[in-house]
Amino acid sequence: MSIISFFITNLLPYITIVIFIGGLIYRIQGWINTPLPMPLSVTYPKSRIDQIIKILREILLFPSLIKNDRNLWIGAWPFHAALAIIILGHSRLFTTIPDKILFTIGFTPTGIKALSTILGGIAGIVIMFSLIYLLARRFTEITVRNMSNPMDYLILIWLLGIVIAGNYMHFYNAPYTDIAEMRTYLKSIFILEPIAPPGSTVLLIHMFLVQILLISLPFTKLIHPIGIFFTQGIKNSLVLLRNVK
Amino acid sequence: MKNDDPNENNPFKISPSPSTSTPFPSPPEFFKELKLKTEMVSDAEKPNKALEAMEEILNERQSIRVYMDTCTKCGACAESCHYYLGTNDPNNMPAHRVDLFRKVYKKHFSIEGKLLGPLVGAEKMDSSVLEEWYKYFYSCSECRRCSIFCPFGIDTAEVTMAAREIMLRVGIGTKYANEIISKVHKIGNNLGIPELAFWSNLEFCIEEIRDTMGVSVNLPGTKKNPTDEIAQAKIGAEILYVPPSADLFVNIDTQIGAMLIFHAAGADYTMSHSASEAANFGLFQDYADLKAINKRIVDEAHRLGVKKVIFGECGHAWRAFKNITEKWNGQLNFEIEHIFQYTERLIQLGKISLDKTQITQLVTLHDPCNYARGSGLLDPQRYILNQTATNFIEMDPKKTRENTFCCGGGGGMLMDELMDLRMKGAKPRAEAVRDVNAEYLAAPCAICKAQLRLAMDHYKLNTEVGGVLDLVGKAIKITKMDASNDISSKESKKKTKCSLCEKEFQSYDECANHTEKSHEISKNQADMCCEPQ
Repeated sequence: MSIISFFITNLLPYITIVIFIGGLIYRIQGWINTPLPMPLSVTYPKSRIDQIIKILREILLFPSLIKNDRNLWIGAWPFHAALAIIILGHSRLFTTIPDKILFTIGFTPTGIKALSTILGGIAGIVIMFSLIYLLARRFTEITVRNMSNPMDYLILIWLLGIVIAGNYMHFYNAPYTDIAEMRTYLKSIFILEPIAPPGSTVLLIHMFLVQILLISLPFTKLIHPIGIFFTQGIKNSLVLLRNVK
Repeated sequence: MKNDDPNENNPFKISPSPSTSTPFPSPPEFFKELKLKTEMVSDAEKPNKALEAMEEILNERQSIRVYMDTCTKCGACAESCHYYLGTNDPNNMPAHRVDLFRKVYKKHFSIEGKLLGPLVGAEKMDSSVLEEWYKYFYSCSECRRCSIFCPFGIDTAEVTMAAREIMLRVGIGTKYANEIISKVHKIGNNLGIPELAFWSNLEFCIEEIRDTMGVSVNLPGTKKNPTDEIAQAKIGAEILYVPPSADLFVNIDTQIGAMLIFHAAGADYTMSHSASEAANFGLFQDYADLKAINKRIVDEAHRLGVKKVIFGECGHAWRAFKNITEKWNGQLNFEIEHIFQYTERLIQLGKISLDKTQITQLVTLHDPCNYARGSGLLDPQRYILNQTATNFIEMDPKKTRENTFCCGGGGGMLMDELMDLRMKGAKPRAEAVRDVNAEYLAAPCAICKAQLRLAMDHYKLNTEVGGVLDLVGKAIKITKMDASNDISSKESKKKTKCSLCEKEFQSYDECANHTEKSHEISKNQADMCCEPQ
């Protein structure tokens, strides 16, 4: 194992875990510890059910974007939907629970593999093109370009790097196909007896980029999926739900 | 219509350009009356003191911290802001406006900014930043249209309020807002109407009603001696009515409408000089004054022992009082209601009846931001207008209800020196009014009325601007007549002379018709020039 490979696969994961979890706690704790003297930004829900449906719709379909900025929705919704599928797919590397659920509803191991190849493949393509679209939009749409700083582009390029490496492995190269080997490696990390992962330079690049992204997540705008629960959009609606008569 | 004339240049076609107008800074003496603790420091010290104030605010307001961290610069908000649409100035895009605050936050209060600096757009707080803040946080009317467009619900208005408070703490503020807040604390209302004028203006309204409708309504107060000039609020009355003070001065018809509603319903209501102002400019700039200004009304309502406080046509007043008072000013021994909710119920119960045929103009409704997005008051005024006017039409649904466009003068922006920006910001609203060809624009908010009257002129629209209650006042059927009416109706049959052209008429009504046709003075204001002989 080269020193770079050792760093990325056996050392960096621990740094990532500590900073990622520590950073999340730091950030969320920072929000929680700050009082909210008055929820000034309130929207009044009509009824409880109404509001719950509205919140779920907002999280699942981004309807406010369909209504207000369709050009953005065309990139943003497919991106997040594909990302959700990809995260679910990757969860199979860490746990066998998804496989067990699929077995119980009647999937065979070949079936699961086919599902992951097809669904993962579609998600990989969709997320790649939606990222290219979002990046192009940031460059070309004058209003968005005006409000962007280098980090906004960098994050998109970084994600694109991760996706391209991932897609390469999915379609051409195959540590992926041997999910068991990846599981053994990841397990070794968690039992603090790290071993070498299935050898592939692309996998190394992929893992490196992902870990840096996770390290930066609590400190950059990537925190937004958690932030949304603290802004008017949802949090105040939930507070108000208690007051709905 | 005028704007169809090809020879006349069309104000809608002037392409947007940045505004150079900035508010007049407040002289130091106007800071003295503020309840907010302010510190007059030299210009050199301001950036550092402002940072200290900023740290305090960040530690006090969770929302600001969350907004700073959560924005992804997705750009969904960009074209939601009327000031951006009117000026094309990038700093007027909501995300960009908040970024003026965020860049300082990143530099001084975030790990990301401390490590990566300009890469994430972090910038040091200095006097040029404060100058930018002053210009652009006073180019925001806190209407919160952007917060509806933001997928995360980030509220630029709250950041604007925070930035203004930070600036105020180091002695940077506007003459306009500070003067108004001082007047509220010292005299009791925004316009600085003293007690005597308050009561005599109400008596003027009563005379108006007697002259135009032949109805005698009671003064919402009591006098120890009938000869007293100053009346007192009625202790133990059921209702305290709190209008914006502009209703007693410029929007008299709105006040008259409210008085006729109370009269027709036979309500036991009172008004008080100590609560003669619904508006609360504290909401626009600092929490301390917001709280103190609300407290006046709470204290007065408790002193009078009223069961209910009813608010008049003022957008932010309703939001500031309804949403905030109970939590900040403690237990309330009275109910809070808006005059629209009250009127809606009266109509539904059949306690007042309206004659739709009185209002034949094509009427449309402007939703003030603070009703629509601040307190969910949307339907009662629509119900009232449908019952009041024969032709009520809605504007484009993308520009009404929660999506309503600001009039361009709210949020403490109604300054003469900002006229250029105000008119540019009024464009989206004026366009929507033009598209429905409305003859009457009901704008149930004192600020909206003042701003939209000018905007209609600026955009060459023949649309009259007034309140909802104005129309109710004209359409309301009053059945009770008493002796005093007969006298006044006889009076209205007296020979009347128009002071503008010296013509004589057989009755006041004829003269009023004449002034409307010949001098473009509406019937309601005909008394300006019609003098009974």
